Amino acid sequence: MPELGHEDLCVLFHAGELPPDEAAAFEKHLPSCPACREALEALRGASQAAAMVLPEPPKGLGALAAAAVLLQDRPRSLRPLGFALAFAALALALYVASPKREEHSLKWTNGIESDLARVETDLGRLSQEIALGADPAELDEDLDGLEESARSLKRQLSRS
Amino acid sequence: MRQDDEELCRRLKAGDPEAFKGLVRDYERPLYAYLCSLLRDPAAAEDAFSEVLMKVWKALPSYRDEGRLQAWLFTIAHRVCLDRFELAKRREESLDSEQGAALRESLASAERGPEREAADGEIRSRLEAAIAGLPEEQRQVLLLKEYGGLTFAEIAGLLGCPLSTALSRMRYAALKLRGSLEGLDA
Repeated sequence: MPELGHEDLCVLFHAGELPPDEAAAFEKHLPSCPACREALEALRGASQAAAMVLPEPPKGLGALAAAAVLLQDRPRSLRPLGFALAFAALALALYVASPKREEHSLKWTNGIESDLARVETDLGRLSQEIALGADPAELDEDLDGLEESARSLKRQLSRS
Repeated sequence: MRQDDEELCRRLKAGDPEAFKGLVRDYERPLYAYLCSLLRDPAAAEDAFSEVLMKVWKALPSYRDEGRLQAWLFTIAHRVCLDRFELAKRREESLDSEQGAALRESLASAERGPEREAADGEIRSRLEAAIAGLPEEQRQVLLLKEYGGLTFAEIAGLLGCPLSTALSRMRYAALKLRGSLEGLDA
């Protein structure tokens, strides 16, 4: 630490930033120095004043702002989901057009269709919630649900 | 760097959304308080808060583990405020027509809104006015200390001034506040 005068040490003392030995030495100096006592009193008053007018953030500001940042950055993590959906749609179209489709089980087709329907519903709900400024925690749950539906689709397609 | 900061940094740099949400939860109040007091406008502070978070998230991968994460966060917040001051100054310069004068008056009226004035107590109003009335350099140090919780060494580093300068700015701010609030039975 550079060489500091008492008036500077006074500020560090008030902030609790002096090493214990220097703090003890400063405490010994205080009774004999009216200027340091006045400065210390003013510093305590300033801390109190700042605490009294501490501006409080609007409720939910941090959660909403964090969700907005993460959603804006989401395309990176949604990219695999986009590919999964595109792949699923292409696979389904090929399957429907395939002359061998009669050989595939009806159960498999129903599974794909219900998963696609679920993804579509989830996407619709998510868009609506974002538009209405929903709770970010709920958005996260919906995004997780969406990703789970996409994974389910991928699993079914890979089994085929 | 503290061990908990190190672990948090590792998770943040890895792009862990939960770590980011935790960081925002931890610093929401001091960050907003700092932005709001420095910008002196709650709406601008909310906007700046989002901007700071976006910059933090984008800068995290290149963040070097030097010093406290808290000091890094407030450095970004401080720069966002300076950018806004610069922008406001440029706008102010362009608002020199008659229409500009009318707009300035309407903005000033909105800031002094009757609801706000009625809701604020006299003491609070005087304290806010006293802090707002401090010279800019002193106010920055006071707010970085009281709301940001930065050490004076960190404040000096952030502002690019010697430690003794940061300390004397704080002392002058405190003495000036004391003078402004004389007679106030708080």
